[in-house]
Amino acid sequence: MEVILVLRDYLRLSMKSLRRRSLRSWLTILGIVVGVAAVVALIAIGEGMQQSVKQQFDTIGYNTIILGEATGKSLFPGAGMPAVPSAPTGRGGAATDTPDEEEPTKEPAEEMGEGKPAWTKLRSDLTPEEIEAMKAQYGGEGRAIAKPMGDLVTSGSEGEPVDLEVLRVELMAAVLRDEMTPEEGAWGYAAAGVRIGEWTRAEAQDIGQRFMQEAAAQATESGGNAPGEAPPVSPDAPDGPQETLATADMLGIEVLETLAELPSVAAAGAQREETALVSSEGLQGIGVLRLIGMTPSMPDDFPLYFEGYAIAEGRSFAEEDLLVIVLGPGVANDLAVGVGDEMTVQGTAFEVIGILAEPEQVGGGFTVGDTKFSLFVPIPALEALFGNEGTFSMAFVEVADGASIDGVAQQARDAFTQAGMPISATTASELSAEIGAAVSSVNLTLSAIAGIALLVGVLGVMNTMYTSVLERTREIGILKAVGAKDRDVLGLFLTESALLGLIGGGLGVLLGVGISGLAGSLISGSLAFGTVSQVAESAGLQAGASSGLPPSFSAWLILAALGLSLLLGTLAGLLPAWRGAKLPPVKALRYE
Amino acid sequence: MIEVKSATRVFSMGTTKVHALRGVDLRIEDGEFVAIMGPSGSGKSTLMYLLGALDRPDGGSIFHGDQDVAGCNSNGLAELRGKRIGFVFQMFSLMPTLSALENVELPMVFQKRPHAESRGRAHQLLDFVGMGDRAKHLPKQLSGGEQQRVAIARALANDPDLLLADEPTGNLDSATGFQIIALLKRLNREELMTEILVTHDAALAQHAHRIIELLDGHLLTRDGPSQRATPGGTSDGSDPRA
Repeated sequence: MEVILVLRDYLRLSMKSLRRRSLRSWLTILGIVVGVAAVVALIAIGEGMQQSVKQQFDTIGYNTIILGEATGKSLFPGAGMPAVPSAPTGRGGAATDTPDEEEPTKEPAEEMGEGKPAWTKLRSDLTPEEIEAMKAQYGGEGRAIAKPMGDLVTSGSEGEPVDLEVLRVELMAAVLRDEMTPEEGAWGYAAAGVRIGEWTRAEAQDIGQRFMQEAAAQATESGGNAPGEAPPVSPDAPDGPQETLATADMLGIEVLETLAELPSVAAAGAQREETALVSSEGLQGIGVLRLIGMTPSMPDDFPLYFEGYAIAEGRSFAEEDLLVIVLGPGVANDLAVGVGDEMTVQGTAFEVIGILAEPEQVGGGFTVGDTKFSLFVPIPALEALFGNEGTFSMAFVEVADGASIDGVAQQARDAFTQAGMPISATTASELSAEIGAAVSSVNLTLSAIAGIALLVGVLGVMNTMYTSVLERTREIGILKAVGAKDRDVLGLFLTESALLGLIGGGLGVLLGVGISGLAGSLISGSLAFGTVSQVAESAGLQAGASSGLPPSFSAWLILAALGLSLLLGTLAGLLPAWRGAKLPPVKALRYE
Repeated sequence: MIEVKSATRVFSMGTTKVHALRGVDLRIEDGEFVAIMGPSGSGKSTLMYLLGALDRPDGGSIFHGDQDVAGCNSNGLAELRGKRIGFVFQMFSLMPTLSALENVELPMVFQKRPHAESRGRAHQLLDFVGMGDRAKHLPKQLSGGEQQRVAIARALANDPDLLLADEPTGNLDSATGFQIIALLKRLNREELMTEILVTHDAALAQHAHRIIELLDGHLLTRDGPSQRATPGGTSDGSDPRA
């Protein structure tokens, strides 16, 4: 009771003396306001960023693996991706082992943009009858392949020039896939080189030997299987990372389909984005719009990601559909087309089979983005328009309940590596953690800067209180003369500095809320969102069209900010108040 | 009763030591009105601070009743000042941010007296010094004489045993100064307040029962017969109420 009484008097007296020097008091308070506002705003924005990151991954679900291009910024990662087994070249160092055999500058990928070059012929390209005929003619498993290979190489003049390195990689991959024996591969390779005059028959012996050794070494490395043995495909052991899911000539979509057949995978779907020139049949409208190709079941399998994909009219496409299109309501309206009408995309006629509902408020999060002005077609249709079959911008793999996400992610990685595609497989929690860590470190830095601002404010309070004590030395003398004890003087000055802190804190919280509200979208657009999309892009993702990250204010944050400013105000006043309290009354009274 | 026994006070000014008081013995009875006189540097201010428990002597003792100032810590001195001593200073002795009423309440705040009680007593005291109608005014809105009246009211707040007035008329014109002295005399006469008036003005000192003169830290005893105040009695025949 007495404490409250005393505190009330202290408050009354302190308020009065603060008001007397109102300009200085307000300037001092301003220092605290700026510091607290900075802290509150940055923490709120930081919390908002963290929550937003979490929310983004909640929308796609933590049992989802996101597949995308491993490098580069392109959102169309598969573009120009050949079915070239770059993996064996990279892994085994096969190319560099035999540098004398070819011009090392030549990139196999450049040559093989459209699949296998015409001049290669593998055993799998031959009919059993042909093989039998060759065996009868040349004898032996290995030799059988040498003749057709050599023939093809010499006939290369009619088409492309022969690249021995490409041939070598092709053959090595075929051996690893068990399509031919190492012996056959070695024969083919050696014979081809002799035919085009690259090396002599004697040299060919050694080269063939080395090829076989390498094939054996690579086979051991890739799966622990001796060459020639069938790799153990065991879908019953879904987490086995050595499980062979893909082969070198598979395209991205095919790898994905193979993945989808695993029991540990509940669903898989891919999406590919292009920008297309679209117009209605009667040219009522024309525009360049976002065209999304996707596997038919994507909206059903990943409903949260495709939240905006709600059919209002007509239907979505099915597996067998090709030149059909689903329109966002904005597109349908602008082009004046309805279900059943025809429209033109990149010069090709499409039948409109569905129109989406008007999207609700475009929230933040990791979604397909704006659906109002987007067009959706089956991936094969997109491939027909833009080429680059088998590629995708992004794909999702949903892991079945109970299966190991990391295991499936590893399988996916292995499958794409084996297919020679630089596709990354990232689990939602990995990505979330990665982005979360980035956001955290940004937050930490920002908070430190805000903390410095607050420290400056605290020093301002300290300075003001020192000045105040000095100015009021005579008043301190009078207070002591009328019976104020040291602790009364201390209490008065501490109350004053605490008030400076608290008022500054209160206004700072208000200003901080205002600032982060105003700047939230700006900052999230440039900073937070930038971070998110950078990390996301590195995984080949496109983050959804977030309209800004709302800052997050918890009661805890506001109370903590007020408490902190009260505490800092008090601490800042401690030394000056102590000095005032300890002044000898005589000295204080004599002070002019 | 206040008793000073061989009180000494030495100030260090760098390496030199200034002996402000060189052993002062003094006894002031309850109800006495004593003037302390002396030129600048005579030690009269130092003696006043010791009597007012604002400072401690380096040697000797100063008893307020049974309490020795020399044996008190700063907390004890504050307690002594708050409960037993009222001060009236020469100038600027009011808290500038507080109204007349709040200034009078201030000593009671530090004695933790209930707020309502303090307020009531503050009004009474302001009425007593004739400032009842100026209770809400801030010091800067009051004249010098009015400020000193408020200061006297404040000095009386905790019903002290001793009123110490340090040049209370120093900043006032003679007419106003006389009113203040008259008020002090009335207090001594009617309320039997023990009063010590510190001044260098011999005419002012004449109003006291007894004049104590100081020179170079020594007491020049001119201990005339102590005329104890009695209700209605005057020492110089000029009744301020007349």
